[in-house]
Amino acid sequence: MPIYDQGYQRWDGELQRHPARWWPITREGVMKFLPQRKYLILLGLAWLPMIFHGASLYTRLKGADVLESLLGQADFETGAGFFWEALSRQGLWVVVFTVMVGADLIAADRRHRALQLYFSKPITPNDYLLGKLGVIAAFQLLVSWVPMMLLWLFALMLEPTGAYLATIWAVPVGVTLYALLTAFVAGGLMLLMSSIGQRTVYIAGAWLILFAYGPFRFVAEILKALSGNEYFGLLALESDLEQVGAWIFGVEGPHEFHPAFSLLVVAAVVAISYLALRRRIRPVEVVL
Amino acid sequence: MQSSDPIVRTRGLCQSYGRKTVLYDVDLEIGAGATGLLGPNGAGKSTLLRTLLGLLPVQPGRVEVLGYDAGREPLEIRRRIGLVPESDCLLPGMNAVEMTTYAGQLVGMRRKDAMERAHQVLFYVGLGEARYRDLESYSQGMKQRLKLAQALVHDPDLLLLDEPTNGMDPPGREAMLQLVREVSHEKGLHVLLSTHLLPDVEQTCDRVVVLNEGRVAEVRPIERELLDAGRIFDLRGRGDFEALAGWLHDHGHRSEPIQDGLRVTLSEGHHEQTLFEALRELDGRVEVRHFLPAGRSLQDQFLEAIS
Repeated sequence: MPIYDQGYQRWDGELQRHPARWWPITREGVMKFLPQRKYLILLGLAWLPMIFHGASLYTRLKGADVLESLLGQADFETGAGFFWEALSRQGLWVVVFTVMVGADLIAADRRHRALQLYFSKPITPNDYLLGKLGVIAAFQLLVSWVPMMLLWLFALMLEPTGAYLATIWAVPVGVTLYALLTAFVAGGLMLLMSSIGQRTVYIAGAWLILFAYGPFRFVAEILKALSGNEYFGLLALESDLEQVGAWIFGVEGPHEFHPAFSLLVVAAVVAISYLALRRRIRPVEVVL
Repeated sequence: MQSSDPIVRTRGLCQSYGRKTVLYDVDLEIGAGATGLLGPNGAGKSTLLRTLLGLLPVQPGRVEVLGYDAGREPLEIRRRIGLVPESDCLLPGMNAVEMTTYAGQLVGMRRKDAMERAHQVLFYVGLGEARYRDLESYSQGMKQRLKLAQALVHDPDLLLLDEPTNGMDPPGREAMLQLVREVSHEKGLHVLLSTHLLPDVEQTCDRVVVLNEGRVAEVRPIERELLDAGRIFDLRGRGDFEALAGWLHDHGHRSEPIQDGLRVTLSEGHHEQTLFEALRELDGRVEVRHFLPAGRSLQDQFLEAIS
């Protein structure tokens, strides 16, 4: 007798109605990648710089006399500037994980025509996009926000004084703001590329050109040098993000103009990515 | 919602894609049980299903599904509906248990409940032994069953099936229809089956809605019982068939003229002996040369409706 002859059984459980409908999408995406050995190894590598930063901080806070006698310098940065420096150096790992995790997130669903499955459930396009963005953001936070928070706690353990706390109390806020901003800009742009492209390698390439290590920074520098106009620096998205980050941490950014201009560019990129994604991700594809 | 209320109710529903109007002023009431949605290509079946799911804005008109307004409460509707889409749709990198569990979670089931339920429904649709296999290795029939499983995982009140037997071999098709029949007739799920395969509707549904060029051409019960009970006959020959029709009418039976004769639908409890009696009473005024059990097949009804 076939086993399915046991018949259909009704289910009398209750469906949850929490507003975070995007959460199962994020969790599923994270759990798809996280147990894989290559991701664990890369996460380990991404955390290695934190050991260096921790040691550096220890030396600056506890061995300032030794450093002064060796280097002849007395004033070492241990405030917000130190943390901004450490955070911006994690940018490489943010790029690595955004490419590895994000490039196929929507492209795979489109290839396998899975969107209709999502939208036959109580999932809106915004839930879907937020869920996918959450996957990228989770990995970005794992290599930026989490180690930075640990570094901050380590700093407080080394120097548990009110005076030091007064200089670094805003660091967690700054790290959180910058990490979220990076998630929306880099993640949103990656989702857009993933919704347009089919092959992962092209998607990753397009994103790298638009966001990081692409010709825009190079072109911006040339135009700046030729014209003497500092505002050409706005063309490089990555440096705009850097400018805003430096502003958040209260340190000097890469450009001389006001960071609000960079923030406007960043906000425009987020808005354009979102609007374009909403056009790409629709419950009903109409071919007339 | 009361048990006598229609499952689906539309009033003056129109749908357009750009300048192309697909549904025109559709007024429709679909009651409990299994309903077939038939229509030629481009008739508006898929658009109607999308509208019922709340995926298309309802403007103008009004659509209620399971008592919820499709324009204002689409998520409530989708919580209570299971959709088996027409085309293949797999979630990459998952096996059947993971995909079905995930589908349950997307509807709002707790992970543990969704996992338990996924195993149940996968056994039910006949994928129990293959539930951990790579989905890429599934045959077309297995993929169809998996789509049914993910639609059933949260035990919906209404199951929408869009061409569920597409690409299946005859035994697989029969098994799929058997599953659909069982959930609709024995387990109390309402079913709306959109297909171009008339025998699928004939085998599984209680009534049929025929759409043609964006309009409801016909809504009628499937006369399966009449066919099964042997109460429909075609009589052809010569003579006074009008007199025969009158006799039948006087005795509570229905008849309609066909070429060279009559199609007779006997009332409940009557069989061909009734016709012999009628012919005897008419005393040779009707000469019957063909006397065949008939009944309008669904195909006849369909062709008539769209003609």
